[in-house]
Amino acid sequence: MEEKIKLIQRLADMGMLAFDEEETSRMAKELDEILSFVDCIKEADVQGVQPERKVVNFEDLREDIAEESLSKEDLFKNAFHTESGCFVAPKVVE
Amino acid sequence: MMNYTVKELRQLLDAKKISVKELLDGYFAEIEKKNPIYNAYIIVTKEQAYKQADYAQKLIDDGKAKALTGIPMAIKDNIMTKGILTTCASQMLKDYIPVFDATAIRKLYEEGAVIIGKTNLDEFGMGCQSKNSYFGKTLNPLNTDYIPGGSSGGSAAAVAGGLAAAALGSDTGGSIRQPAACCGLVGLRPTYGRVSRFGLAAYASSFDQISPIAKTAEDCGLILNAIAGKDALDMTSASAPAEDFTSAIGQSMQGKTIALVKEFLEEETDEEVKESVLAAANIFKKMGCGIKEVSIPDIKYAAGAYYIISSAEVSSNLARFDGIKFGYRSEDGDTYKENIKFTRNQGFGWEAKRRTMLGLYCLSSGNFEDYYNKAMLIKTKIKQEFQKALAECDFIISPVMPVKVFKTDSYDTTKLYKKDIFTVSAALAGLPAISVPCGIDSNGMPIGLQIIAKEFAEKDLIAACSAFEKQYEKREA
Repeated sequence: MEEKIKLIQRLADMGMLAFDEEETSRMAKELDEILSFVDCIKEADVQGVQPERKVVNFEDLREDIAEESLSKEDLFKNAFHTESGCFVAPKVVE
Repeated sequence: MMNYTVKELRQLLDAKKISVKELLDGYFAEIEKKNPIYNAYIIVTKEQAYKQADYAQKLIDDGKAKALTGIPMAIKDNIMTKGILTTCASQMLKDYIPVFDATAIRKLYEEGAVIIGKTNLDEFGMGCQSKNSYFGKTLNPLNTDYIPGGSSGGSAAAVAGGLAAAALGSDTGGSIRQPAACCGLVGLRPTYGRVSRFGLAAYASSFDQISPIAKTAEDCGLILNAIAGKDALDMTSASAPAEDFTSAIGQSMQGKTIALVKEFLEEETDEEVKESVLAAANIFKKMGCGIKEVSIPDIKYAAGAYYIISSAEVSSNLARFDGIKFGYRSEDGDTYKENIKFTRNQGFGWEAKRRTMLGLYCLSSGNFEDYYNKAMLIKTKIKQEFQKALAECDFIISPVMPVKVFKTDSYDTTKLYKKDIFTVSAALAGLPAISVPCGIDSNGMPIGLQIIAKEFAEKDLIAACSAFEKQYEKREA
């Protein structure tokens, strides 16, 4: 279990999520259940299948035309904290 | 009036038997009465709607009405509407007011459609019961003990409950088709790329499609006519030519071939669902269609592959929410990183966090090959299996869900994921698929039939679905 808790803590850190102890153990249990479900794909035979990733046709790009963008006022509309034309973020330097 | 289809409302509006304003009065009265029960809408946009109504009425009076002019429509709250709250049913965006319209919304406005409100969903589209919402769960208007399906459950409940003439939702792995099935409606997932995703809050970008939900296949076609097309703002939108998706309705089904997915008979499909789908095949047969069986051997891996790929995309798509430039911000945490961690942990619901974690696990080194890459190969293989099957038939049919409509939390998570098998497989293959009622179960709830067509064959799909609808209604009557 200790190993699983460590895994959840590592993933939560990557996902920028602050789980408390209870959430961590609940997530460990539930992720385990979900993984045992998706693990069925391990049986699938995909030998010889070529990966297909292309969803975008790069030969079909739009013209690069300059046009008016959103106003600064619009861009700040949904921010929690702004000051003197800047977004205010928590202190970065520790 | 609340039971009219879009097409019928069009005739009433054009014949001046009713005005757009009168129509809105009727819908808003119903919403006031019933939305407190169903919780279909997160926000009702009365003021904006009456303004749009003036414009729509003018178009009608000038003889310039299009198919959706003056039609009261509900919009799933993960589609951006300029100046109107768009929450994605998340605390993270509970106060978010977009400064731009989604392309599909812009196109609806151009048609003169009237937006009457934004509908509830599972947060960001993640769920199948419309209960993973910061704004509470949505109930099924046919019987409030049952789920309305999800994630577009608010849109489905609005249309089924007579609180909108039709609606837009979105479908990633079945989010329009399952609610349609649960609420006795028709829901169309277009071919991936058919409708621009610009302004649709991203859940799993390689599957997401804005999709119509309505009372008939023809209504879905009318909405698709308005919103489809290549868009410079979405690189994945397809350049398939515009067409009238309702133009093949009424053509004979004689000589078309319908294929049953063999595996659905073998999977743990509920007996009543099985019977209804087989009866649906029989209806097609009576219309002169050939019936055969096809096999999608890897369909049993579809749900697993889908949840891996979609969750991987969730972990990436939800990474943008840090509470700095927009959205909820926590008061907790002294440092930048700590504050963002608290913001995200408090702002997201449990399912969004769980899928973020699953995605991160499947993408992390050591697991990438076994999970993400393997799932992508299965996706390709399933797509090939569908292509092969569709080379031998015109349409493939299956149940929408292998289970009957159920009450909230009747199943645990893995069972809920597993029952997505038929809807996620069409999504993995990128194919258009429609959900249409094909029976009533012993609880009096509808059973949904899924019809899958070839890539970009929405016109034929809508025609086949419409033909089925008419024969099914005849049988019921």
